[in-house]
Amino acid sequence: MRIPALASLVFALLLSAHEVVAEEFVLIVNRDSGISNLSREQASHLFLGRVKMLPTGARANVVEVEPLRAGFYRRLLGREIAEINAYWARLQFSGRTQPPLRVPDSAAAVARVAEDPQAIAFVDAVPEDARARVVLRLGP
Amino acid sequence: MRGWCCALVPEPASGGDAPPRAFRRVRRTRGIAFRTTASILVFGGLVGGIAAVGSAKLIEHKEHRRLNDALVESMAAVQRTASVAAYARDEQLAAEVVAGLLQSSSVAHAEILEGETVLAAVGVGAAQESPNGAALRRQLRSPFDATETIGELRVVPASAFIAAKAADYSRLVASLLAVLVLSITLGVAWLVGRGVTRGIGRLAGELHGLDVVSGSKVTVPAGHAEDELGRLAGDINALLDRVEAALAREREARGLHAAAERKWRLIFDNAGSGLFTLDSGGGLVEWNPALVRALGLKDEERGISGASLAALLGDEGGRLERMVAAIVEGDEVASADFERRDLEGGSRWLHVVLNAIEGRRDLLQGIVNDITERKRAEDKARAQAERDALTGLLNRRGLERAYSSRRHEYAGTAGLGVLLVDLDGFKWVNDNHGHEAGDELLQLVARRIEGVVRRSDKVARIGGDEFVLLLDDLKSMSMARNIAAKLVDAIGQPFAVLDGRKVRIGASVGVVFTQYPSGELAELLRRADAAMYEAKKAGKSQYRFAFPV
Repeated sequence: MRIPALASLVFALLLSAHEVVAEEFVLIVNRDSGISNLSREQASHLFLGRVKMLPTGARANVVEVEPLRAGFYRRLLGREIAEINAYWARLQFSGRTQPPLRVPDSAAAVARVAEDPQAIAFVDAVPEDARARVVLRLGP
Repeated sequence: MRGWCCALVPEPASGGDAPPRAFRRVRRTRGIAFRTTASILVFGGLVGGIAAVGSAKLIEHKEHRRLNDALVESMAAVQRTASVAAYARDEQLAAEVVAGLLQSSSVAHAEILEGETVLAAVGVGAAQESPNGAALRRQLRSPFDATETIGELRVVPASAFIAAKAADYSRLVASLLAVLVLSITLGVAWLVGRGVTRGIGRLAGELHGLDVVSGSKVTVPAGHAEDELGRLAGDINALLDRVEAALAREREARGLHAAAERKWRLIFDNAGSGLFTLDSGGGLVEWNPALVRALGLKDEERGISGASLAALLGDEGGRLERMVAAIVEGDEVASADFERRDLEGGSRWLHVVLNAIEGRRDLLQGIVNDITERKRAEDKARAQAERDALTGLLNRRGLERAYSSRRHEYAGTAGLGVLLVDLDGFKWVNDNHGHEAGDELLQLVARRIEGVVRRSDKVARIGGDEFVLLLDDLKSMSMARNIAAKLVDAIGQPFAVLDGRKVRIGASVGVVFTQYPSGELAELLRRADAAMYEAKKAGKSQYRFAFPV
C-alpha cells in the first residue's frame, strides 16, 4: 500500500510541477449563503457535480483553485487528479453537468466567493476576507 | 459291324448353341455408380440432417450464451461511464450510454437507474416486463467509493433477435453440411463411375460381344492394369485362352469323328447288304440304300422311317416279329430267310440276321441279303435232284420229300391213297425194240398216269418200270379204286413208240388206302408192293388193295 501511494505521489509531482502542496484545505462560502458548515460528503457531492444545489436550495457555483486541485481531491477523496479529470471528461461529453469554475489562485477564489452568495470554493488557508465563511476544514 | 452301328446310334442331343441374348444395357438406375451415389446421398443426407438439427439446438444455445457474454462485455465496457452518469445524475450522459448499448441489435431495452430513479431508458418494454425476466443487471458503484452502490445498469437482451440469429447460423451450418455432403457424394459418384463402373461396364460390354472362336481378347481398362479390374480382365483373358484351347481340341476331335463317320457312312451307304437298326418294336430307325433295294421298294415307298420291317417283309413278317422279341428278351442273334412276294407275282428271297447291340436293349441291328438268285439256283438244283431225268416225274428222293412235306396235311384228312404201279411186259419191249423204245415208252406211260390223276397228286418213278402215286384228300376208298381202275385201263391201251410201232403193255397196281397215315413212306410202299405182287400173281393188268392194318 505504501509503495503505490508513494509512486502515485511522485507521479502527481511530476505531472504538475507548479502544484502547491498545502498544509490544509479550507472550504469557503459567502457569508450570506446561509450555510454554516458542510460535511465531507456534501463537499464531495458539490465538487463532483453530484449535487448541484447548495443545502439552502440555491444553485451552487463551484470554484476550484487550479494549483490546489490535486492536493485537494487527494485530501477530500483520496483520488488522483487524473481520475478526477477523467471523470469530468466523461461528464463534459454530455455537456449537461458543468465542471467547477477554475481560478488561478486562492485569492481569486476568495474574491469570487466574496462576490457570489452561491459560490463555494476551496483555498489553502482561512481567508482574511470577512465575506468568506469557512464551512469545512480538511486538515492533514 | 460295330463301326457302322455305332455311327448310326443317335447321339444324345448335342447341346445346340443357344442364340446369343441381345446385350442388355444395364439400366442407369441399377448401375453401381447410381446406387453408390444414392446410398451416400441418403446416408449423408440422414447424418447431415441429424447433425444439422442437433447443431441447430447447440448453436442456438451457444449463440445465446455468446450474445449474452457479448452483452455482459458491452455492459462492462460502459459500466464506468454509466457509473459516472449515475453518480453525477447526468440524464444526458446516461441517455448516451443506453443509446450506445441499444446500437447493438441484440439489445431490446437498456436503462440506468440512480438509486430508484430511472436516469435514462431506451428500447421497447421495461426491464420488469421483459420476456423470461432475463434482464442483465449490473450494479453501478460510485466512481470514488467502490463500496457505495449508487445505481444499476439493466439491459434486456433481444431474445427474438438472438433466436433469429441462431437460426440464421444454423441454416448456414446446415447449408454448409449440405454442400459438403453433396460434394462428397458427387466426388464419390464420379470416382466410382470413372474408376469402377465405367471399367466394369466396358469390360462387360466387350465380354458380351466377344467371339470366343475368333480368339479375340478383352482389353484391360486404361489405368486399371494394376488393380482388381485389371486382374479381372487378365483372368478373363486367361479363361478365354483355356476355352479357346478346349474348343480347338474339341474341333479336332469332332473333325476326326466326322471323318470316321464319313468313312463309316460311305461303307454303310455303299454296302451291298441291307443294313439297318430297329427299335424294340421292330420299327426301322436307320437303314441304307441296299435295304431299300433288297426290299424291292419303289421310290415312293422309301419314307419308311418307323415302318415295321415285319410289315415290309409281307406275308411272312410274323416270324420277324418273333425274332425281334427273342432278341429283346436276351438272345444275341437270330436269323431266317423270308420270301417277299411283290404285286407282280414275283418273289424275292431275303436272308435276315438280327443282332443285339451291346448295352442297348431298345435297339437292334440287322443285315439283309438278297438271296433270291441263290435260292432259285438251290431250288432248281433240288428240283433236278428230286426229278427223274427221263420222265420228268419225281424220283424216289422227290417222293420222300413230297410225302414228308405233306405229312402233316394228311393227318385228319379224308384219306391218302398210295398206289404202286409196276408195268407188265416192259422188259419185253425193251428187249425187242431197244432201250430207246423202252425209254420212250416210259415217258408215254408217265404222261398217261398224269392224265389220270389230279394236278395235286404226286407221281414218281422209283425204279426202272415202277411208279408211285400219292393221292391226296380221298373222300373214300372207292375214289382210290376208281383211279386205280382208270390207271390199269389207261396203261393197258396200246402205245405208239419209235415212229409208230405199236406196243401193248399192262400195269399191276397195289393200293394202300389209309385214313390215318402213320410211320414211314417205306412202310406204306412195302404194303403197296405186297398188294401189287398179289395183282401180278392174279394175272397182271389189275389192281389189288392192301389189307388194312
